[in-house]
Amino acid sequence: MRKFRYEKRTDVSMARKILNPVFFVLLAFLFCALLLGVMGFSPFAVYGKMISTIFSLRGLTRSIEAGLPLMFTGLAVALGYRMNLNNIGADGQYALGAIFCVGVGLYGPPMPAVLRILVMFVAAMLGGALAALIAAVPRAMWNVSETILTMMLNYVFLNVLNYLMYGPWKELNQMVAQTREIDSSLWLPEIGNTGISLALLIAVAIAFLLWFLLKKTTWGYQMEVIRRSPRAAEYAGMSVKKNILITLCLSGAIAGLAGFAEVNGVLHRVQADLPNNAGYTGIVIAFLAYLNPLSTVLVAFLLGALQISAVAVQITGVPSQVATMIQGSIMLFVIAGEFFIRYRLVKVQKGEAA
Amino acid sequence: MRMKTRMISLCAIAGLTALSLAGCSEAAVSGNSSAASGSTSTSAAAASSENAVSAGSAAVSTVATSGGSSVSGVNQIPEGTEEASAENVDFSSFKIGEIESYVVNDGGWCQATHNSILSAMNDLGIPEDNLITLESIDDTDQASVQEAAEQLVDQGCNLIIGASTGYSSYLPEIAEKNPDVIFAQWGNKVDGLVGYEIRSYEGMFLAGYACELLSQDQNTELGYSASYNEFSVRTAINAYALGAKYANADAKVKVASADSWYDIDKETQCAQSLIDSGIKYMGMEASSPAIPETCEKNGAFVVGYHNDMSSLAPNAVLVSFEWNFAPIFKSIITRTAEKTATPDDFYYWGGDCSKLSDFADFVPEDVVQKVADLKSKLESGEVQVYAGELKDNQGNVLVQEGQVMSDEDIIQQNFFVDNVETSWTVQ
Repeated sequence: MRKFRYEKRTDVSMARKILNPVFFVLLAFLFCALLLGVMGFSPFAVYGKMISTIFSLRGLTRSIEAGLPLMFTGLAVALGYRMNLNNIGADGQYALGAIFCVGVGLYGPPMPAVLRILVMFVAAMLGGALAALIAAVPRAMWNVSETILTMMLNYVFLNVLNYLMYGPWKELNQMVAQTREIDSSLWLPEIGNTGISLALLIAVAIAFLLWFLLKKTTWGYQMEVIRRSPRAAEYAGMSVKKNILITLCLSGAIAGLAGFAEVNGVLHRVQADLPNNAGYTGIVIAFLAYLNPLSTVLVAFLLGALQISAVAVQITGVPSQVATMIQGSIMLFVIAGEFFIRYRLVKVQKGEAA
Repeated sequence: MRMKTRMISLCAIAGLTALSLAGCSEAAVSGNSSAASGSTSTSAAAASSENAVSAGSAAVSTVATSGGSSVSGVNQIPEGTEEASAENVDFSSFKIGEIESYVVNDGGWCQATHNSILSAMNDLGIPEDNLITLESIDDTDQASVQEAAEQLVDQGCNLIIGASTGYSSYLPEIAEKNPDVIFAQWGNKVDGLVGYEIRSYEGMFLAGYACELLSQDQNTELGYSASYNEFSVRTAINAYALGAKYANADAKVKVASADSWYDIDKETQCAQSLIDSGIKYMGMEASSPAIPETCEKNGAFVVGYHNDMSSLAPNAVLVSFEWNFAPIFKSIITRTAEKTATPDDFYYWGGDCSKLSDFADFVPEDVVQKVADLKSKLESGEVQVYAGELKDNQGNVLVQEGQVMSDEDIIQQNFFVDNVETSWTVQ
């Protein structure tokens, strides 16, 4: 019997990086089609509904809206991983960013609308950065695991958010746990007549900026060196501590901007449980995008599209659990398929040890 | 804000696993815990007697016309109007869309709403296939909620029911674009949406009364295992406490809070902590079977909530409070079909809507009889749940002697009454 062993690929072509996930998405569809068939649903009807929803103007707009916070959290997580820093706390950073942002919007001192929008933008970044700083300092100074710290801080900031939404900041005479709307002069405009918020352009701009910083600046180079070998970086005179602080805080600031995008761009208010696990989804997105900032935006959009299609396929009679299963399968297949980008299967020759 | 999907966490686990295994060959991923349990009683309360008039509605006829932030005209629909002219309408092609924050067999809130819709459809002769249900549409997800609503409009739904308070911020925009479709939204009145809500305090008042009657020999303190500090939960706690106080002026209600809409572990801990402090009878506001099961294990007793929970813990569930929206939905459907429904309509009904299930066999006959007597006093208006003088647990007077609280304040429920012990505060 022939056996196989796997072998690390030395270089990976662009085509493989693109076609590999596409292949595994198709494989996931095939897998789900079999399951749907067994359960008595028509895969054609389900996938037809999915595709017709996503490729309509309304579906595209909604997918972008759903993907918007994911773009920011995905970028935040991707930036952290660029230096081997696991920022699991994008959820909490998003929450604190949103709190700071809406705080300025509703309770800040009087100022012109444009200025207030700018202050809200900065406040959201500060909130996110502050949430990350709490984890960054112990990580930089005493090498405490940032994975645990950022993750545990999520609970703290989500509870602060929910406390404010169910308590002091709750809209008066309403039942929903949310703040009142910010003044309409503070709303970000739409891009043309598309119904898509200008916040999308902010996400894209940040992605380009990060790409530029990582690829074209000394700082980006330093990050790469630190990622590969913190010791070598120290010998070369780079401050690892300083870079950890900067990277985690910047990562947090980007996650905090998800709050700005939602408050000024989409919801115009903050509600309980606002992050809705966007920080965790950001981990998946960053990974699927190979930590590339530009593809992160694209993958976040695709995940938004999956989320919207999970709503639409229920119209065909598929229960929500199955719709969620399709969504989960696609991600799982693509993530598992990543293996074949790094490795190839090789037939074991006669006489060779497996 | 009801229940959350757990799907994203699955993806996060997958992502983390894959990240940590990057390069290894296998990725083991633990399963998605989509908890779907509980009884599946199909028709919650089909046989509801018409023309039931509750105590509250007799006292106050207009509601929410002032004070609300942006509500213009409100047309309050009086109780018992669902049968107006249903015979003359052909319902066979009437289509209903339902948007739920969780799955309809959750054993709790969503199941109660879903069964009420089915019961109303059944009574009016609408085929079950005419109901399209979209589940697990999260409250915080504007894009999904609006997509869900527009998909239902595309399917030709005449009526779309949003069963979670959080939708009220997103649905008006879609309702405005589709004036031919009636959108009904649970909770307080929002511009552009038909509002519906139940005088749940009536049922819970009776439940608290029953618990205090049962517990008096042992301990005057009752418990309440609650989810979130939210208006509907406060309504249940306060009514339960007022009912207990009606039985015994010294009765106190101690609240343990899970701060979650669905968390089996936290709900178990809440019930257990109450039991450990010596409490034997408690009320609950939760959807999982954790609280009744914990009570059963410890020989304590509980008032079920949302649906009839007696099958979950037959030796612990004394009686259950059931949301019976069926009479309201019948009226909304009929008025929509007749084209008399307007987005200004508002339903705040009690009576059969605020339903208590049958008492368990082990509840003494005299207690059952006393509860029945009190129920008729509520219906006649002889007893008012929110009658003065009523103080909150901070010592402020909520209602003056000889007066009754307004419906508006009852719905908001921005207080805890004076015999409630809780760490929660209300703004």
